[in-house]
Amino acid sequence: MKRRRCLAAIVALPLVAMARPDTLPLRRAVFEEVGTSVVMTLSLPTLFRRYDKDALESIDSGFDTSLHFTIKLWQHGTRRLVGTRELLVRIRRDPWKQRYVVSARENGAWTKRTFTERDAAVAAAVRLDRVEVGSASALERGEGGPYYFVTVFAQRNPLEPPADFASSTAAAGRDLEWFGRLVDVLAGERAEAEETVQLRTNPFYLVAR
Amino acid sequence: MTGGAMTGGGTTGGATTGGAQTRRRSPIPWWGRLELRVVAALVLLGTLCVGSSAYLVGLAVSYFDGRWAGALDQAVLATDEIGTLHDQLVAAKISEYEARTRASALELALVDAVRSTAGAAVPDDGARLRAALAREPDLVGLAWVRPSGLQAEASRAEAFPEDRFEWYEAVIDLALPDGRSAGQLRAVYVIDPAIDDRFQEVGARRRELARQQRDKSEIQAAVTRVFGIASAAVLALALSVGVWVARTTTRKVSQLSSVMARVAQGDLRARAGLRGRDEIAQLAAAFNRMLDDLAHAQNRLAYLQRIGAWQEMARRIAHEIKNPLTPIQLAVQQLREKDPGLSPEFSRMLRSAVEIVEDEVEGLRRMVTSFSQFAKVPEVRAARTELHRVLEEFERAYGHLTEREDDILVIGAVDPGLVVVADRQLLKQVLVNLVENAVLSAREAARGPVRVEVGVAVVEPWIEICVDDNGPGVPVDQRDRVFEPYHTTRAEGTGLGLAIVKKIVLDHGGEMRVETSPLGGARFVVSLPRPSLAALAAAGHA
Repeated sequence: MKRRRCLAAIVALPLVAMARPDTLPLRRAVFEEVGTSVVMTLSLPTLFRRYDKDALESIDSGFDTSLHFTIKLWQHGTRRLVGTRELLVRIRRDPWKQRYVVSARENGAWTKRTFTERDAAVAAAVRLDRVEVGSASALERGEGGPYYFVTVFAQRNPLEPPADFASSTAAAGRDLEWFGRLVDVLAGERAEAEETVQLRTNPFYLVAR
Repeated sequence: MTGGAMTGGGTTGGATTGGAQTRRRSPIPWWGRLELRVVAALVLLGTLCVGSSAYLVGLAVSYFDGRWAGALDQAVLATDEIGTLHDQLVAAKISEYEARTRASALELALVDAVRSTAGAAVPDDGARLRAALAREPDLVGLAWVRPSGLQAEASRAEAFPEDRFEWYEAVIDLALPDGRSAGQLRAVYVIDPAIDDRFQEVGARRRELARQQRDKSEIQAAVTRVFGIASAAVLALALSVGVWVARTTTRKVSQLSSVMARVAQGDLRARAGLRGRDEIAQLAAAFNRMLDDLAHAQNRLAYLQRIGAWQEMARRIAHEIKNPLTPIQLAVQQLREKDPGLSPEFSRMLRSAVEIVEDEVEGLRRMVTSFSQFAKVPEVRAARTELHRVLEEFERAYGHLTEREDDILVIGAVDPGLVVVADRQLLKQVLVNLVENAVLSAREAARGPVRVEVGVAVVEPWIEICVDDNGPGVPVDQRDRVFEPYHTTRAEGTGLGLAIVKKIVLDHGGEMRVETSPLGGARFVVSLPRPSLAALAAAGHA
């Protein structure tokens, strides 16, 4: 019995470690206190790689390319989640005006920027420029801590979950429904988005006043 | 009975000897066993079926996969074409907007030129723009900047806010027919949002198609895995059932073979198991019936052999004893006659001795008579015999039963149509022996008046003659031995009457048994085979 528990612990350890936000890849970000908010500037160029021709052609085709950012503010050293924010960015070529449009929706409001060059538009789209990550009032101040950091989960063109084959074929017969479920299970985990990036930032603290 | 035979060592390849079970080695090599062959055939068939099904399903999956992939490619190409069409639509709309703006500008310039030539007053620019705006429903605003710098504009931007609608701005320089500039006209149009919405829907469809293209190989592999698992499960199930069926079948065959081997070694009590209702069970049942018949015939033969031996011995004894009896009797009679009477005491002793000798001689003579009767049971002269006639003759001859008035013999009614192929005289002797035996037994038991009943019943394929009495009956453990010669339960019996009866019955192809009678005593049942019409025709009348 003891041996089994030890084995289970050894197997589970990497999984537990993977689940911790402070084990994600580190990326340097700039944090500023602006008014009552803490804002962050961070670039995620790997969402659009230079050699990803399909992604770049997709922008030129005129179709929207969506970038979903889930930004979570954590207290460093603990697993306390201070706050979560969602950000949606769209980039597209505007055929009417022959330019690139980057739209961002935060807190329900859209902001729009236009670019003549695609690369500039892409760079702007993958850059979280002074994005609010939390309210300063929710954080404690002091050089001695506590420290905070941010995790970012970014998805390019997140995919809608596939239609439930089993339910769509329920009318066709129980055997087909059963078969569909089994295929879905055995097909394994499929991609959630065309591209995903997950990282954490360097810790920061708020200067004492 | 069957179970008893099986527990006696009839299990597959095994025999019980003194409680220790030892494994009987099969003479068939392992590769020649039926079980292995059946299982191997099932494995081969199952693998062939599942394999061919897998191959066909693989072909079908590949076929539909190819069709699906082709359809996906066509769909992706269609979305690409839609992208081109969208670009062309946008270009056309832009051309349209610019043409409309140019037309509006020309109209404004012409009106200006006409009125200027005619010396008429030029109407208010703002009013003209508002009128133009009213005519164009998708126009957001118009602005006219004259060369003098004078500017007029009309707008309904509030109806199409820029944060919700896309605008397109067309700018046209106004030129008078004489070539002079009339300023610049700027027109802002609202772009129909449906155009972009539909195009973005196409984009979503395209992404879904791309996702399906990416997932295709995984789904195909998953389908293959599902089919593999299902095929393996079906194959395993089929094999399990096949092995079970093969083992069950071959076990029955092995059991039958084992029982046959025991029978061949002389054990006629061995019987095959009768589990199931299949052909092998029927074969086992037939084999068991054959063994039953064989055992019955063997018992019958053994009995007749024993009776024959006893008859021979009885004949010799009767011969050896009978011859000296007459000289002995004559000698003692002479002794009695020649007594001079000199001594009364001697004479009395002599008379007593002579009486004793005569009594014993008489006893021996009776015994010799019985022996002779037993030894000379006549051969059966079978003929068509009506049973009611036999019983009537028997009743006439022995209806008195005994000298006592209260002793009763009841002869049951017999269907006149009941006939057997038998020796009528011997049948009557059978009845006489049985009734005498019943009377003597009942009398020895001293249970009061003797009651004997004789009846006939048809129990296919037999005709049974039953003799019931109210005597002491025959204990169950004595019922097999009561027909053995010289075995008797009576004090004065010779033990030959029932043996003679059974001998006669067996000679008629019948059977003899004893049961408990409803009268409280014994019931002797004589079973005679019911003759077929052909047998009756061949037998003729007695």
